[in-house]
This record gives sequence, structure tokens and C-alpha cells, in this order.
Amino acid sequence: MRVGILANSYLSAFTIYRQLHDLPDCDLYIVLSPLPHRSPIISVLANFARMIIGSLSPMSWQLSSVPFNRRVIFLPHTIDHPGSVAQLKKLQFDVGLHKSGGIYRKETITAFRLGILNPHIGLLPEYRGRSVMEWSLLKNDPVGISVFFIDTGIDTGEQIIIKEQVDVSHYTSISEAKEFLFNLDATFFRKALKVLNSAEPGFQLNDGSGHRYYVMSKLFQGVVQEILERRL
Amino acid sequence: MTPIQSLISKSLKQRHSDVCERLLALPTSSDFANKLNRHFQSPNLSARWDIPETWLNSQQSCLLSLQALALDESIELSAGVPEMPRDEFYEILILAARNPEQRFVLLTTEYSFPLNFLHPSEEKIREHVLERLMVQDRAVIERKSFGAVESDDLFLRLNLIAIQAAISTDLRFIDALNYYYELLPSSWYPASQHPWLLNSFLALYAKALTPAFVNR
Repeated sequence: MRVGILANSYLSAFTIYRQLHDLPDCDLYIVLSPLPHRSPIISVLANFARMIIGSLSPMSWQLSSVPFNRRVIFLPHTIDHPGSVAQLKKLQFDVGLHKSGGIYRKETITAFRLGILNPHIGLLPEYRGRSVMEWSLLKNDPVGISVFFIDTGIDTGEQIIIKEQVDVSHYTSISEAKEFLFNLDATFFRKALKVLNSAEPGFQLNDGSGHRYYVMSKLFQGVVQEILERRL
Repeated sequence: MTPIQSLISKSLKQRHSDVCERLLALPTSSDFANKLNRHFQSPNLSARWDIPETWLNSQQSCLLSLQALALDESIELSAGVPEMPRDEFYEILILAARNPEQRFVLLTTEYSFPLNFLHPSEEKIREHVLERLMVQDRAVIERKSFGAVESDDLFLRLNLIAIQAAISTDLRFIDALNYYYELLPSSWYPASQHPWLLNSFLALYAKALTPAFVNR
């Protein structure tokens, strides 16, 4: 399976690469594109510099050689640019792994045979949108991660590959709990790719039965903070 | 009440006194604002609303009806029907997303009795209004300022969301109000045709925060 990690920053993509590179039956690449409001040239130069510096740090030869064995692809335009989409199609990826900002257009998504996976830090279908960890805690519901194939909507992609509850009760701050969940992206990508590579890959249906949540107010964030501190 | 519900209730009660204080500090340049201030010196905390079982028309305009709701005054009603089928209204509202003046007219025409916004048939419209407020409008205001959005249109929709928040157990609605209250600069007042919509928004928000509503 050809897999592309879609990112704006080499370092963030590499943290995923490092944890997935040994997956059997998985041909892994890093695809870097500039942020929409950033100069493509600066973006490429910055990532190139990070790549070279990263290759100099002490680690296995296999990993430090990533930049030099054609595993890194630079897109000169943003990911949704027609030129980028054409390039992605030529690369014939099976799956994309979402590690960049923004929402993908349909043309970008369909450039991947199966689609682009997103590790959403809320349990679908109930918790779509923003501040979903906080809303789960406020409503005394389990916190977790759902890895699903993106569509053009907000967490509405129909195919959930895996979803699991994650315990954040050992954290006493919202930011720490969230960082913990975000840092599990590679772990969950790994699980999802294993499912997709298995003999009978299946999915759960994201049936739209839940709600879209929005950025939480400071008032309710204070309540969530207290929930964490008091381990309610 | 669970410990979490107790924390939520406590936070909303604390917010209630802040909101009342802020409401009373607003300009009282209009008759309505003056009346509202006097009313909020000793508000009617027992006033409740019910979800209308059928569509009702108010004998007065949406804006006057909103004022009446904020003042806990009665509204003369008659049985009626919506101006158009709900799916059609929803589509037209979406098309008016970038035309605040048109959207203002659409909403005030459709909701002469604002409590119709609570009707089960309005679920998609409520979700759309909430989404616009918490995604597109919020982004513009945070990037620029309240002056960058059409304030009558914004506060009309916040008034409607406050009505929903007052009767709904869905915390997303009250939290939209929480969020906008925190976003609102303390000394800012709209320079628009109906600036009192800010006063009525705070009044209806306070109503949604009162114990009678909070302990739902």
C-alpha cells in the first residue's frame, strides 16, 4: 500500500514517518505542501533546511536517509492546487495521512485510491467539529479518537476505520490532555493502516447522527478544567 | 444533580449576575432600552416559555415581539402557517449567507412570533444559524472586530439562539451565547438601525441563565 503523509512541515511529517516506517506492506512517503498564505519558495526552503538538519541528528541510517531516497515530495503549490492534484494522481497513493492544516477539496481527496485518513480526537458519529475532547468531558462522555476517511464536510466522512476510547483522566489540564491525544496520531494511523491491509478490512458507518460542536467558551472551559483537576 | 451538572449550573449562575450588570450599564437611548433597564431591576424570574405546538403569528412585528419577550410582556397571537415550506426557507437562508440585509428581512418576516424558532420543524434552521454564528461570523469578528459584521443581522440571530438556549438542554446553544458574551468588547455599542438588539440579546441571555431555566 502506497501511503503519503500530507503535511506542511517536514518535522511534523517526520514524527509520523518515524513511527510508521516499519509497517509491513506499507510504502511510506512524506508529501510537503506550503500553507495557503505562505510563499511556496520560503516553505520549500524552510522544509529543506529542516530536512537536512534532521538528517544530521543521531538516528538510524535508514531514517536519516529519508530525505535522500526519494521519500520526500515537495509540492510547489498548496495541496488543493490543480498542479498539486495532478502530481498526487501521478504518485498513485492508496492512502493519505492528514497532518496538515485546512480542509481538502474533493479533487484532492479522490487523488488517493482509498482516501485521506484523519485522526479526529472525538468519538464519531456523536462528536464532530471543534473542542470535542472538552465537550465529551463536559457531557461526561468517553473521550477517544476516531480515524476515518475524510470527505469535504466537517468530520462527516462516512467510513470510520477505527475508533477507541482513550483515558485522559491522568491529566489535570485541558492543554496537556489534548496534546496527549494529538500525539497519538501516529499510533492510530498505524492501527488504521493495519486494518486496511488486513484480509477483511471493514469500517463503521459515520451516519451523521451526532452533533457538530464548536469552539468552547472560556466559561465552560473553566468547568472542564475543574472536571480534570477533580477527576470527576 | 451530578457533580458536573452542579459545576455547570454554578458557572452559569455566576455568568448571570455579570450579564445583568452589563445589561444595566448599556446605553438607554431608546424607550425599549429604558424600559428593559427598569424591568431588570426586578425581573420576573418565574417567566417560562413553551415550545409552540403549532405555528403562531404575532400581531406585531418580529422586532416588537422580541422586545416583548425580553420584557416578559404578553404577545397577541393567532394560529398561522410559515411563510414558506421549511426546506425552501432553509435553502433561501443558505443563499442569503453573504447578504446580511436580506437575511435580516428573511428572519424577521419568518419569525413574527420568535418562539416559532423553537418549533420542531426549525431544527435544520437552528443548526444553520448556530453554525454561521460559531464558524463564519466568529472568524470574521476574531480576525477583525464586531464592526466588520452587520450588527443588526448578527444580534437578531443571537436573540433567536438565546430563545433556543432558554428551553433547550443542548448546551451548545447556551455556550454560543457564552462565547459571544466573552467576545463582546465591554464598551462597544452597535451603530446600526436597531442597536437595541444588543440590549435584548443580553436580556434573553440572562433569561436563559436564570435558575428556572438552568435547572432543566
